Amino acid sequence: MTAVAVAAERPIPRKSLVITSAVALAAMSAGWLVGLVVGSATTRLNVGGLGLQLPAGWVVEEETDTQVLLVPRGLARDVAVVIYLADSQEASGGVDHFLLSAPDRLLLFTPDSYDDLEATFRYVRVDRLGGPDEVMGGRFVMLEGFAAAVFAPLDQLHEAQVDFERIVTSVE
Amino acid sequence: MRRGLRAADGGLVVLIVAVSALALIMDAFSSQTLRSGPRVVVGLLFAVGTAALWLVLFYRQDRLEQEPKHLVATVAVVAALGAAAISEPLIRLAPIPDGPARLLVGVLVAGMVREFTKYLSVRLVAVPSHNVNERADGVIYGTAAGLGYALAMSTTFVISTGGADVAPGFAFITATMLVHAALGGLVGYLVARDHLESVPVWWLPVGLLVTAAIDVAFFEARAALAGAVTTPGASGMLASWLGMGLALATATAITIALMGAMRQEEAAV
Repeated sequence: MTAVAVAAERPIPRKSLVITSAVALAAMSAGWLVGLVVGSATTRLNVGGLGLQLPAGWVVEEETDTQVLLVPRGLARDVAVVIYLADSQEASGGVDHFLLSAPDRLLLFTPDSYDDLEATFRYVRVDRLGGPDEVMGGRFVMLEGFAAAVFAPLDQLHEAQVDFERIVTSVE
Repeated sequence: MRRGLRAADGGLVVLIVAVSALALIMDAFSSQTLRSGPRVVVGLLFAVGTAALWLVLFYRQDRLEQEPKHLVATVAVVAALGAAAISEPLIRLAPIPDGPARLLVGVLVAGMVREFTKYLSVRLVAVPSHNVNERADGVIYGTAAGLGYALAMSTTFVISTGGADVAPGFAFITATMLVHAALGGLVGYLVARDHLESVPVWWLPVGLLVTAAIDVAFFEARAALAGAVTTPGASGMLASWLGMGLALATATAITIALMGAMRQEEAAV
């Protein structure tokens, strides 16, 4: 019988399991604590009934039926937001997506406005292309669980892009 | 077994190429026509099918002393349940900060939770059965745990997105499976060595931390890569395929490192 086989037959000590578990739990707790302390300014925004975790410094302003997300210029440097437009798949078959690089302002329509606009456009989802971390770039990994839709009406997309450019200039 | 691992790695490449081709073909036909419901079904079938195929492929390479099928499957199921019920919800709640602390918290919380789940699946299910009697056995069970974990992540992804588009969805699932299976293999190797040999008490916890760091490094690198190639008007597919390429490279590097370590150790005995 080889040494390895002998080792396999002997009673299994739990010391290693206990120590490894203790270290792992301690590491997780420490990480959680650091996250709480450093990320304590994190804001949560409810879009489409789902929580969107915002990084520190991002501000949400409420307008009539629109939530405007203001992103500090410095923080927004490497933000990439994909707006995925699926304008009625069975009607026009037009499925396209638009990318707005480094926006300082996102228009987040509330579910109410989404209902109103549904006839015009299907919906805009940032997670349809493969998950936030897949498409959005590093900045959006922090939006883990971001399953909410970012809504933007089809006919306003162009305006929205212009608006982004204007805001970028004004924030600077 | 080492030859088996190499063959499994080769088989994996074939599987990925086949899956990629299938995804592209299906994407051409289904994206415009499939509604959310069928997309969910297709995505789930793909996730389960890929995990099962991979597990069978990997399992069949271990011809000399095959591990009990039910035990390999149990490890995968336990890891999947642990991931879906505890680990992934916990990670979603974690306060991931901005800035330099982000990586640290990512490794200590997200990475550690994921790898610790795989560790527990192997340690609490496979080890007590006395079937882990060589290092490669640990790799088998660890890979099963990794695939189980990836299956939970993939099904959650498919369901939460209301059915991902076929090509990017398949790319996401395949990349997730690749990396978690490889990281699971590494965790299994650590468990086997800890179980079979006299290693210092710090060895396994440190190994787990290193694995967690590799885990987070991959996902951060993939995100950075995706961000770098995603430009206005560009297709998101390039990012998806690059992510899969990175996953393949990561999985291959881990497998080669594992085989090298096993070869070196066997030569030293």
